[in-house]
Amino acid sequence: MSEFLFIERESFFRRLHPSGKIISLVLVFVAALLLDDPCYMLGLWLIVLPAGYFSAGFRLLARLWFLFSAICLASFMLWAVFTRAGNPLFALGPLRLTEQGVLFAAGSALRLGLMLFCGLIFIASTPIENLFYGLTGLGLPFPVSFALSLSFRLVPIFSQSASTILQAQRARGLITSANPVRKFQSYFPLFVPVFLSALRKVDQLSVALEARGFGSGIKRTSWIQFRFSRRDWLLLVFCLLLDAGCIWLRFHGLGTVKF
Amino acid sequence: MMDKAISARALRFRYQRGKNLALDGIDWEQGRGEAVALVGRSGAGKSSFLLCLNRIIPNFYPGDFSGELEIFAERLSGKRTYELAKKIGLVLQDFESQLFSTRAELDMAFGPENLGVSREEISRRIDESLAAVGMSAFRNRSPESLSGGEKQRLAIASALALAPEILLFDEACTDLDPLGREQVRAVVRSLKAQGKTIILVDHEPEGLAPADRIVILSRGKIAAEASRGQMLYDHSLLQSNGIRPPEMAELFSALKLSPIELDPLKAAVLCRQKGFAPAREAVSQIEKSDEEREQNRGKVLIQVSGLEHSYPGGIQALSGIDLEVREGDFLAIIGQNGSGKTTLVKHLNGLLGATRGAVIFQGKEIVPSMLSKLGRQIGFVFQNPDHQIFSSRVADEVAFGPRNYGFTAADTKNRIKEALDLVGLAGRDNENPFLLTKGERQRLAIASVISPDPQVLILDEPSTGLDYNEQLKVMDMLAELNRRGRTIIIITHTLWLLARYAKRAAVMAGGRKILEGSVRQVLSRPEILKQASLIPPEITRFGLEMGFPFLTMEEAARALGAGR
Repeated sequence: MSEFLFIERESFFRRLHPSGKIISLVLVFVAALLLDDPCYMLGLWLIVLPAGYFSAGFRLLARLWFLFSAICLASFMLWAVFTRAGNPLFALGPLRLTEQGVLFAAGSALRLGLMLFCGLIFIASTPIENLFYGLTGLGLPFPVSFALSLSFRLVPIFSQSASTILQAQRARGLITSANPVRKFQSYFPLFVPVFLSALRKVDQLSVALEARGFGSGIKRTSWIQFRFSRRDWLLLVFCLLLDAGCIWLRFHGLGTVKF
Repeated sequence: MMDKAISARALRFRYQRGKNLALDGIDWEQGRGEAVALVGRSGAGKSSFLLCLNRIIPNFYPGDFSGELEIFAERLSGKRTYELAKKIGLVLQDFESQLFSTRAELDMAFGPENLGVSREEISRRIDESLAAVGMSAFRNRSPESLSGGEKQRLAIASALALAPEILLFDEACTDLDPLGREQVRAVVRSLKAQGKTIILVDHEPEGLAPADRIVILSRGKIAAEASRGQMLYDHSLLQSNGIRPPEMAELFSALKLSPIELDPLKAAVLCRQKGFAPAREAVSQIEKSDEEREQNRGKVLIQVSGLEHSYPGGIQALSGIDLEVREGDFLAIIGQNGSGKTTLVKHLNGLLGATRGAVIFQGKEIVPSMLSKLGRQIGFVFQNPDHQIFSSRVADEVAFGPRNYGFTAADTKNRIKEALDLVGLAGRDNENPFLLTKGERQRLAIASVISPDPQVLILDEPSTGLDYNEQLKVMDMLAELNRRGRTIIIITHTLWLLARYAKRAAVMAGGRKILEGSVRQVLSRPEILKQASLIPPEITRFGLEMGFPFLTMEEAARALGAGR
């Protein structure tokens, strides 16, 4: 990860084995996907929240809070508006909200938020090299895991280019309208340079990678090494128990909104 | 005869969908431990040749490839790029794209890991390579926290970690400030002393110093080659191939002095021995003209008072900046990377807002909400022209500003014509901007900013990445705009350009303005410039030794010629 996403700080999560961390992340996602009742989702949030403290997750969340809140809010509104089943709460023309729809929307937004939050904890505490070490450790071919990891590195590069390009066009009189259609039209001058600049960067990066023996097909060595330690096992067992708990709830008809 | 390191015969390459041959019958012989400088105008084929040596061409960039290449007497035909990675290290101009790890040492480990080198051996190579570039103390640093020169040295260390015999430097110094360039050049000199075989591409004569031999490429062909000593004295050949001739060589030729001495301090001693001294009359004429220029400055246009700027996270980029820009000024803002130059000029058109202090333009305080409207009066050309070009026709690109500012169709047409005439792109209205050369794209970017006819033009490093002739074209054009009454503000690292074209200069260091005055006043203070990691141009250093700080070779030749 670049410094924009990865935060260099010693923490419990920073020291974990990357493969174990990836498996734990997937297990928490599974737990989140098993439930949709907002009360149970809040419970899951309470369990996961301390992890933000033991990583740099809160710090990254503080950086991205606007995007994070916008995604959660958009998710809530979409589910609330498009879930038609349930006891009517409110109706105005084609707009109809139901009691269960609102609960389900709240649960879904909390679930999405939880998954994003766990993702933030993961990327804030995992350098790019550890990520591809973890992914290759799980059997993913090196070029695939490297490309996946590198995409995080490119995010801030592209966002920086896009911001410069926006500045360059605004300095030439580009006014971005509030009207979404006009806004889209006014952004047209940005797309071409952003796209071309991204292509150039990727092209240069690819040349640099090739020149350093990337994709040689030779069995790759890894200079950094991790050992699976007790804390990795502890986290895995904890996540497995969390999944088991959620499965138990589902078997007993709990944890989901009843329509 | 030393062992052959690189040998090419009849090397030809045309990029897929390329109209012309990028390489057109290159024959090349280079001995082990020899350093060769490859020079030529933009598009001459320099990078293409380097990329052939590790087979990135044609493995990665396909096209019509023919000819024979050998590295240490081994034919490269059919070889994969990774097979050559352990023999050839490549350092590119864009240091950002070469570093992709979160710690310096991890970046260096990447190459050897790809080639299956053992952990113990990788550790040893990291230690050795970091020491070779003088960065042993940086092994745990994040590449993002390094300066441009440090990043480029790290990129060299990463190439060295593959233990290559041959090193290729493709304009590795272009994007660096003077200090960064010197750091990288020192590393190149030391690698040469260690016996590495080197090919380096550079536009500046200082960058050619480690080379035993200089080869000039032109349109994919070798136009000339000679020892560095011989080539640096042939200034017309250098200039016609995009290389700035050394100022001392030009001066010695103008004074009909030989042998030529390139070191400005030694040259001054030699000149004095031969009886040369600045003529009193010529010097007082120069001083009088400087004085008149200072006295005839226009009224205040932009007033910067107590400007401070902090970026999110509390990084203080500017502190207590006071600056006055007057009508008709040609002001250069200089300083090393990260000294706050760009942050400062971004306040002059509202791209950034002040944390404290104010910027006043024509009686009004500039704030970021004025950015779009202010472009009509204060144009801003970004460093990279590709950050603003988006149209598929040159004319449309230039029309973007006037249309945004509500010019009539007839006025827009006139503005397009005038702007394109001025930048030397007249009659090319219908061409696709993306097919222009970098220098032409830079001039198009300027045309598209001057088309609404702004009073002030700000340019962030307008000459970066251009060859000598393109640099002159861009700067001549700015001088012409300045003569027509426009106020010009440029950021530059290139002090000979500043000496030749600007009227005033402000020096930045650590977010503060440490010096301001006429260009001659500023360049006469090498001890203060040193704080900003800047060194006056050769001709000024020579002049200071001779008793008067000359700004151009012509000035020095006139004063010394008359004073003999």
